[in-house]
Amino acid sequence: MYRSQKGRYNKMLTPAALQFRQTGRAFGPRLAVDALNLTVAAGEFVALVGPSGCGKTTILNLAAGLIEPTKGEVESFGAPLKGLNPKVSYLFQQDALLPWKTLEENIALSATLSGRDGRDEAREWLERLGLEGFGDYFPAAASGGMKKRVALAQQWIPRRPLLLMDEPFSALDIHTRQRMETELLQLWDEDRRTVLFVTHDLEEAIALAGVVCVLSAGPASTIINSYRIDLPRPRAIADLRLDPRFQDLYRNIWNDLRPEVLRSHAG
Amino acid sequence: MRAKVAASRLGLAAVLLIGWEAGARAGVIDPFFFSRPALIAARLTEWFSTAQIWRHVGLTLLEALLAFVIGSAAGIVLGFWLGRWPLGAAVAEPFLQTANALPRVVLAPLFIFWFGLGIWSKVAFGMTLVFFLVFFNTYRGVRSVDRVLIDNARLLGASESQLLRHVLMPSALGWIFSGLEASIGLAMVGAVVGEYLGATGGLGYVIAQAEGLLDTTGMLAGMTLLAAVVLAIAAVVGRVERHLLRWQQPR
Repeated sequence: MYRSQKGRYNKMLTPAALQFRQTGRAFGPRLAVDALNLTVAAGEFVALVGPSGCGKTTILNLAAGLIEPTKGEVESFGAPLKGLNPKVSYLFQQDALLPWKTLEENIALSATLSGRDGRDEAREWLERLGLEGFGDYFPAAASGGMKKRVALAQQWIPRRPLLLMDEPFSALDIHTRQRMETELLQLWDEDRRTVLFVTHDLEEAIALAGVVCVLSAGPASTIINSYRIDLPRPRAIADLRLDPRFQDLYRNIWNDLRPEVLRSHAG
Repeated sequence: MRAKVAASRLGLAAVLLIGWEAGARAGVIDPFFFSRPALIAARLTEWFSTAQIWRHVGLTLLEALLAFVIGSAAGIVLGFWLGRWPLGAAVAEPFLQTANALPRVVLAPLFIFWFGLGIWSKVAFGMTLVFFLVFFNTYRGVRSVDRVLIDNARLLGASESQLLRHVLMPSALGWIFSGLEASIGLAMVGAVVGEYLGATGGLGYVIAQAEGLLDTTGMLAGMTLLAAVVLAIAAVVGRVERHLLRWQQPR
């Protein structure tokens, strides 16, 4: 989609983490996504923004292999997707922690499932996330921010090359949210794995991503434009909104997004 | 607050019992039809002094326990199985609905006919009562697991058996336990009704005997004992449940 030198170079070396080609998905008579063309280059942090109900979650579910396209195809790292995508971690919008496992057990879930003892690793993560002493809490007793941290660790640990994130921070208050965004970027800076991040919040998209793609309002939504976000990293999330370059980008992308948001409200 | 509730409960029980006793002594309540607490207490003391009663209590408990264990095991297994196999569930549904729609009491004479006056007719009868309750709860529990939890576990690499162990079982446990106290009650109903209709021992038999003699005191003493036994079992189950479902309570 975007046309930067670096992007093209990457594409030639390694197959894209995700490649949607004329992909469409219908639910009964309702076409959620149509004629979607999207390339997520390996190592890229891509944000999808669009009005609510525009099929963002459908795109992630297609990428994870949880649902199959009704039109076109989806490729991941050069191979067409059949069934679940073994290369992804998926941070769902809803709470996906197992309520009957403690926070520590939830962090260690991928280790448990592969027959390893992940307790030491889980404890390290608890410490790292500032959750020492909360390891034996059940999710019902944890705050929204704590649960999100644990969920992020749970998904980060298996070291899958592609991380899908579905409005992960939308339910958090603004301060917790900015802290989580900062923590996410710190994590991401360590190994720069590929991220496909879905949000309806344009500020969040610009603050985090290297590429922002704008989705049209549903039904039958598709990508109408994409922008390279060349803000330097590491980024200071809390101050970024005051940066004139940030504001320019925001204004540009918002021009694309605004009619879609209006359209989605009209419909 | 808790002390207040406890005191009020004690007070209410005392008012009811003393009112009953006084009413019977004053001739307002006919003791032939309603007996009175002092007589019932005396009868219970008499029963326990001869130790005869333990045989009946033990028999009823054994029948109820067997009915409960076999019935809930069958219900849990079938519930999981059909919960994960939509085709089988669709095929089995009308059969299960029909069997469940039948008022089970009419089966009791048939079971006595089939299995005789011993414990197995009561076990079979109690089982049919327990099975459906546990089955429907388990089935609902398996089907109502949040889709996201299943997807998340599968994406993290869970096999079908790991899914069962880490996601489906714990989720269904809440539903199973929500029906557990009721199913223990039903197992007791099965045992007692079976004994009532034809047996050589058990609390239902004791009550039926007293009935035959128009002995209200004996009937009410039997019922008191029955209620006490069920409450004692429920207390134990409540403990187990609180431990296994401790994740449901925020601390």
